[in-house]
Amino acid sequence: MILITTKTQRGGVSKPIIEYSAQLSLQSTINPKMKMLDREGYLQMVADSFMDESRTASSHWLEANPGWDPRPKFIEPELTVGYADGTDTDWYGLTTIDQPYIQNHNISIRGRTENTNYFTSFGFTDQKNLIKNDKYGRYSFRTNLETTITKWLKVGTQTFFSLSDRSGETTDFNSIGMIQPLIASHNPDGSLIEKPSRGNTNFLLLSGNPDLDQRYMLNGTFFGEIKVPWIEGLSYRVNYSTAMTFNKQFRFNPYANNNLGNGYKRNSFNRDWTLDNIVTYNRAFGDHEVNATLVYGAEYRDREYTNTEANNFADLTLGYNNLGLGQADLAVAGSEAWKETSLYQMARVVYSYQQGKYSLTGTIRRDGFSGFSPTNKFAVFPSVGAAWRVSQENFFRDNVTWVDNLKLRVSYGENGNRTVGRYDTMARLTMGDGYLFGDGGTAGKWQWVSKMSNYDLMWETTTAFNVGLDFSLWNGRLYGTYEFYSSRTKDQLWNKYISAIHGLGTGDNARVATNIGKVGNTGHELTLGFTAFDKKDFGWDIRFVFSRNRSKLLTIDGTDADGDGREDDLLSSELFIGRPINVVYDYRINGIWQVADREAGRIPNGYVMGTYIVDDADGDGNVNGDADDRVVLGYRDPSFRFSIQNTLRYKNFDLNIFVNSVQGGKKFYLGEPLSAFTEGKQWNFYDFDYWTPNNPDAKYRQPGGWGPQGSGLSPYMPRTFIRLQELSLGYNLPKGLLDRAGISRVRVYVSANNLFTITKWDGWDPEANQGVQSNLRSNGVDHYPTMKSFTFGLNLEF
Amino acid sequence: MFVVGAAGILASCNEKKWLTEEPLDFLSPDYGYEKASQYNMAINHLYDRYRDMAWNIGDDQRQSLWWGDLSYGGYDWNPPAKYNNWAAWLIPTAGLASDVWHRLYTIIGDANRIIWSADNVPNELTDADKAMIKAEASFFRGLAYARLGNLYGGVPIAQVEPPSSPKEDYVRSTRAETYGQARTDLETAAAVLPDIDKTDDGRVSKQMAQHMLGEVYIALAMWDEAITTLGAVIDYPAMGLMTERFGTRAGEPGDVYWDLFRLNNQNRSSGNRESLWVLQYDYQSKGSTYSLAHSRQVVPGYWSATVAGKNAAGETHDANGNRIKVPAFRNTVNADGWTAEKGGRGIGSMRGTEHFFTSIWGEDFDRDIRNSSYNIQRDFRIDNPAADGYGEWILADGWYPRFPQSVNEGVANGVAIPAEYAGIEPRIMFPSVQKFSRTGNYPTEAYVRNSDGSLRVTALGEHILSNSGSPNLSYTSLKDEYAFRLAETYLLRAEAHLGKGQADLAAADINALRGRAGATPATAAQIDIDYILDERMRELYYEEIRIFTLCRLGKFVERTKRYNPFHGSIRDHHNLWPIPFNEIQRNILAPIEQNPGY
Repeated sequence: MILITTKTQRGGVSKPIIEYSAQLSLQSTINPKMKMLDREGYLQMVADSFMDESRTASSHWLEANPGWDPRPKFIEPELTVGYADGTDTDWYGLTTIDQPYIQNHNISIRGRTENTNYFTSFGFTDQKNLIKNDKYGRYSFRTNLETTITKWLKVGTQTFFSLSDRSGETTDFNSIGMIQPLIASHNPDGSLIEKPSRGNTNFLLLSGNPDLDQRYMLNGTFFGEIKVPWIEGLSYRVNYSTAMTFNKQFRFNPYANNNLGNGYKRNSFNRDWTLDNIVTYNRAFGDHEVNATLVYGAEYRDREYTNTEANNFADLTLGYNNLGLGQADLAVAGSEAWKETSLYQMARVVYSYQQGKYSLTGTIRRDGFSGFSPTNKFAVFPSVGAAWRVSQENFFRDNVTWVDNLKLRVSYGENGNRTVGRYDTMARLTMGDGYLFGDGGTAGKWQWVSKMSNYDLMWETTTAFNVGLDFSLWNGRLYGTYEFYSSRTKDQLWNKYISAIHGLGTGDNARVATNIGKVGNTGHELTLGFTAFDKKDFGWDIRFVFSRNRSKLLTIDGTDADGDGREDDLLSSELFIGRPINVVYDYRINGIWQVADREAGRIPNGYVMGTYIVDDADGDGNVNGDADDRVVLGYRDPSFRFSIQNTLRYKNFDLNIFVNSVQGGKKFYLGEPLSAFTEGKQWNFYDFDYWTPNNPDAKYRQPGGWGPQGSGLSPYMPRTFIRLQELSLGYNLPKGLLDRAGISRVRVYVSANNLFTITKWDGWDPEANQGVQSNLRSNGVDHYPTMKSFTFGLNLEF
Repeated sequence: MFVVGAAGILASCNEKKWLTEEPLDFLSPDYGYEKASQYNMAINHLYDRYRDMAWNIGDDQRQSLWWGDLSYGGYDWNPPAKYNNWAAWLIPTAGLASDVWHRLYTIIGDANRIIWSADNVPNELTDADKAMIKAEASFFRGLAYARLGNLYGGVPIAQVEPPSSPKEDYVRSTRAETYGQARTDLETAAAVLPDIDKTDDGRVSKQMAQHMLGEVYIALAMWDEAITTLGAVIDYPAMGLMTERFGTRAGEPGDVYWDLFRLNNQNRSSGNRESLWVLQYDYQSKGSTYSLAHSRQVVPGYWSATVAGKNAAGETHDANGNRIKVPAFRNTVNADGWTAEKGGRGIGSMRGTEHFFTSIWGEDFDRDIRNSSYNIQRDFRIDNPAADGYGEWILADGWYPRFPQSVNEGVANGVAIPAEYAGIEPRIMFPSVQKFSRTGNYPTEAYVRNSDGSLRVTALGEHILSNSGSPNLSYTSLKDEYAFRLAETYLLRAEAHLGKGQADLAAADINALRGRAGATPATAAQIDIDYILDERMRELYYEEIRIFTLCRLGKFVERTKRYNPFHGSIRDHHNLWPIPFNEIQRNILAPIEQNPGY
């Protein structure tokens, strides 16, 4: 249930107000120290990957072996060519642009006639991102109308249309690290080399490929409201919202299939509508006030998608506009479709006495979702709350004059979570390509059951107890809110791994959505505001926000297979009784094996100098990927967060300073700055602090080898940071000046975002968990580094 | 009006109906096992999964299927790591341990569902269809259990009825029980499946099932049953070793062993009577989106070889007075350096042992056609005009050093590499196995072309391969490959005869292969299990998945110690692989015991 109430004018008749705002943000990457290795750096990393050969044993591997030749170590023939030619290609420079930016413009008109409010606006965004040819344009139109037809009937609409355009093919940020500086990009005549290495098409060529990527979005909300004439305070409102999204993704790559071409057209259409019936009754009887709401609503979502793809084109000129020119037996057709529905009812009564001196709230909610199995579609969630405005009591008002407002709130109740996908309770029969018996002819499809069902899956329920305190002191000079909550979540939704013996492999197919045990959460949230100065020409407001949460797994399912009288942890899901659910469960690193360890014969089999010393936590002498050596090193969630906002005003100037911080202490908010580092010889990397005999105190291992735990083992550190997230200076032009020009308001401002960050984290950005690795892909999505930006803006109102 | 209408929609709607979940683009398994066509699709998946394990398992995993006495790691040798360091690498937490395991259990899970559904789900199958479908599924289940038994010992027997909720109390069976399950399944398959000449190319047959059953009988020391069952395969009239040139390239210089591995010569429709079961590949067919990938590991990374030559300025020595070195296999028309004639884009990470390259051939080195220059290419011509030795043989004419086993053994024992071999990688230059590469005979789309459409060739007339597109062109085999070949049936029966103490009959079986190959016949006195394993290597190098045989016989450790220069880290317990750690951890209600030593 979403009620949109944007910018519709209320109140008396007003003349049309025209507003215009413009904004230009110039961007750069957040950490300018991140530099990709050049030829020299890359060759050094190759040499450091083979220290046994590239350095001399007699110098304790401190000195280079002068006769060493890196060429036999190269994994692509083009590296040998580039080595001889002295090639030093700056792929980062070639792939990125110097000045990424975003500009936004928005113009709107709003006003009110006797019975009607109106608002209409047009917006435009133009964006150029860090990677060449990665651009974004957006055009949006909005119209809101609300009209009172009779005394008891009001109808209105809010409509919105936008076109988002991401056309233009680009490479992703990660590919920069997948090509080495020894690989040449251009031919001597200045043209791009078509296949610079590994037979892959030069990704700099992609920007010339035909590529259309557009999204059309149409949103509409329509509502009617009846004030029932013969019962005072009773009204009925119906809301219907619908959203439709069309996506077009058309792409043609003439270099694919050995220059015979590949092209596709992908179209999708998503629909989403919500219908809410809302009855409210709102009436005061003397000191008693009753506010009752009943809601009955439903939601529907569906999607359809079609892909048509062709390969090996008879002619490359027409691109995706004539996919029929592809080779018939290599054509691909595909489609997808899904739908989901939900349903909800809610009843709420708020009773308040003497303008809220005491108030009581009771709510009951019933939710249904199609994604649960037939027996578990619905769940009911009741809650109650009470509030007491202490400052309204005579005994208090008379004695504590410096307190303007003091309100105590308590609530207790349940709510539900359905973070389960549609069809997640069902088993799935997957069909695909294929098998062909004999030579020639048409292949048959295959099918298998790729997922296990869980028809017992039900709503996750959280029972929460909240206490809150709102206060305002010394005429609002100091004000704030404090909240404490303690909750228990039962039937926590969790994708649990099952063994491969079930025949579903070891990856995502082997996960079954289940409800597990109970998780407790407790937390504190504090907001404090302080007005340091409030003079005519000068004001200074400070706002401080703090929050802290701790979670704890109370029980899983009671299994005690080892019979020690204590419930077992579920190691395969990294769930530990009595600990938070987001643990880091891994090997402890106790430093790096040094040259002296090697010479003393102390390095265990499987490790070499420069690899991590893994703690033998179970003390059995085995450090070769011994799963029992893993320990809970800490937690991924933050320890606490805080932010401080300073707002200063001097005459027509205002200055806003916003500092944001997430803190991890020693064990919380852990991340791995070097989470994806394989072999130094293979790809290219950003310069980082890796081990060599000359750099014995390095943070990270040597680039050529790793221990039996695999290349993924790397040190964790808290992502703690304090960041100047926003610094802005604005100026409102003086009123008198404007009145003569017929302008009611002009504001200009400059602001800087992410100007600087105080952190010990290595790499791009601790908050986004971007470390020193060159691959910023996470959860299947390619990311850019976080950007810092300088913005210039203008607001005008007529 | 609109208000009333909207309210009406909801009031009239039935909540249950409204929330009914209906999949639109996939089927619920409840409706997936009713028609014969659906069972056929399910059977296709069994073929695809077995083929995936044999051809398409990850790079690391692939190496482990052939390591030991046949090959070692061409990378990661100094210091010995990964493929050359078993103690550190073959461990329960390594992906290696689970990759074969989970593929085989997927086959078992699929086969169980087919067998269970045919009997328990109302379906349209005739009794004859039902028997045939169950037999085919039983073959795959039996094969999978046999392979699990080979590699891991006794394993959990999966519940036949597809579990409707996670089953977390599996326990291991004994190795005999695991083989026993395989035996039962393969007996069912052998009884029902059609003869090999009465079924499709690429489909398993009675003879295939008998071959596999014979192997399981051997594993159970049931020598008589093995001899009879394997004999039925050998004596089946439509089967026979190929002794004369045949097929697509019969007119070219070569030999019959070479013919066995040329394009389109594997299926029986080509006239090949020796194949038992051929895994299918058709270029650009939806039925094969990948092909055998370990040709890449077996072919050396020859394109990395550098030899004495002149630089662009025509100089022969650099500023320090050292000889200028140039790539041996590259010239103006061929930037990549890889050609069809040299086997495509090798990386040489699976280098053969000296035992395989040299000692195993003994006095028959020049006689045995399985070691002919057609089948194992031992030298290449330098094709870079800038090289001093342009047009000459890179090894025979002394332009590149032969990498001796002694260097490896030195490295394995911590001895420094002698100066003359500094910078020479074992992966770069070694004899190249031609079974999976098809000299000059890849699909034409795989070649680099000139602008007029003609194939580009090097100065020595070799065909240049491209390296783009999917399926990966120049480093996979792009052709049908044997899963099993009759030659192995002879080797198995020889094992059974030896087990029964009939060395003369074992020698006769082995000599059937040696005779075809032109090698000196073996005498009964020579035959022991190591001789049979050597003959397997000679006949089936990189073709059979050797780790299964070595682990079945418990000979992996012993033979690796004897023939692999990096044997230092092998331990006695490596004759069985570790149970994947995740499996133990996920099976929370009962212990799956780990194999001893891990």
